[in-house]
Amino acid sequence: MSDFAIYAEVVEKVRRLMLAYQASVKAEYIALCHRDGSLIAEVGNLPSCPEPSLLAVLGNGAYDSAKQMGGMLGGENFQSVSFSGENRSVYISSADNALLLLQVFPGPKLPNRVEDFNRLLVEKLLEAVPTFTQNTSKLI
Amino acid sequence: MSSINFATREISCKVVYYGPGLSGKTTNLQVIHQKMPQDKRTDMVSLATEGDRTLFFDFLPLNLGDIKGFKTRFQLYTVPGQVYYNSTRKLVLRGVDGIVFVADSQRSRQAENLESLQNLRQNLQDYGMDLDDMPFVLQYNKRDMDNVFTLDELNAELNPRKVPFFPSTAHNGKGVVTTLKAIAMLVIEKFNVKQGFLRKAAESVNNTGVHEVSMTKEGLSVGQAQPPANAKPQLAQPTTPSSPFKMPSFAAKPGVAGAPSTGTGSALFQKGFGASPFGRPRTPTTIARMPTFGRTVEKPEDNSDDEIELRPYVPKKK
Repeated sequence: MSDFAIYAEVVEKVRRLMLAYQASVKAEYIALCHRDGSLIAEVGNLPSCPEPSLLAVLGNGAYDSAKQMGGMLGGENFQSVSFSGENRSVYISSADNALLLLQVFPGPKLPNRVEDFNRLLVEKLLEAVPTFTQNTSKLI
Repeated sequence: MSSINFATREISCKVVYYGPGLSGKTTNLQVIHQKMPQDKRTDMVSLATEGDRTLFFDFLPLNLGDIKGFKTRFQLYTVPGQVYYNSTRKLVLRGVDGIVFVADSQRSRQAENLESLQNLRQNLQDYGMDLDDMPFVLQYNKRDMDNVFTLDELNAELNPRKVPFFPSTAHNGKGVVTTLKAIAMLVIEKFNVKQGFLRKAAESVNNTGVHEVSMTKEGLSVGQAQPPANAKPQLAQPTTPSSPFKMPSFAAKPGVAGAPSTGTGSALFQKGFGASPFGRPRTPTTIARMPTFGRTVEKPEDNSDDEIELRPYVPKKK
């Protein structure tokens, strides 16, 4: 409830960054999701998934589950979770406390150095859109 | 914490069905899924065990119509009820906007109801939220079973705050949609209250109308009440004890049908008028369902944590 307001201008900036990133890592689909499950911006498309918000919700669930597992096993600073299927691979990483990046790649393997590329994108996103790290929950 | 997305023109709200195991939370969502018209829902997602017990959550997105050109998306979640899944329940509660507590009316289940309600309070507190400050309704399910508590007995145990409560028999659909309507109304009202910056925008174009958002079969609709003469929008309208989420006066007078829109007479949350939400004429555009990145909403210049002021919507020139 405008605890998190997403402006068109911001989305355009985010989308430009994500498009450049998509071209460099040859991702099929990239989505920036809020941790409450809402979708902020996306590039690319997945014909088999008619409802991208489901991806956002399930991506959050997958990340949270893996993070819990990591925590139980003594892991700290959990940053990402990946899944490799026969036709597609998924890489989900935290972009900020409140944001997740969900990336879908064609094929059974993730690109080399996806972590490094991802880190670069996250830095650029947070630099370009400082509002992502601002708390706007004090509106009333 | 719902989000308002000016790019996709969507308002998202998260409603969680909470309660003890086997109280009927998933059944509620299944019934809603079955009863909703095709155009207002998509597939329901259930992360469940083979025995159909919820393992992580059930998720059902609903489109409940437009408010002044903004699609309202309600995301309905359930949590796993079993005591030992608390970490999962807590994750699902993050960013919640409204809660339906589904209690089992059977006398034998009273301890589980109380434990689950206490668990809900605790989990919310861990996120810095207070159950008493958020939209919350109770659903007393399984009213068709033998040996159930009376509604008064259930209220005495579970409802000291006298929040709205609804008897139900979820498996045959009784009381399910009524509960959903009630929580959706409370969430929308709270949303309106929280939209301080929208109210300021309304004030800046001398809006004086009073609108009420209500649920209908078609979804959300914006009704209209006659404002008193020279009424001005209240920025910090006090709430009354009987209605903790009282609607604020933040919207404008409706435009007259057939008359050219001047902008100042258009409601903030009203569909179909020719002006933008903030008073300027709007060029006719079609709203795509998913992100339409061509739109431009100017960001406020003085952007502080305490105050956000929206600038009028100016369509991009081609």
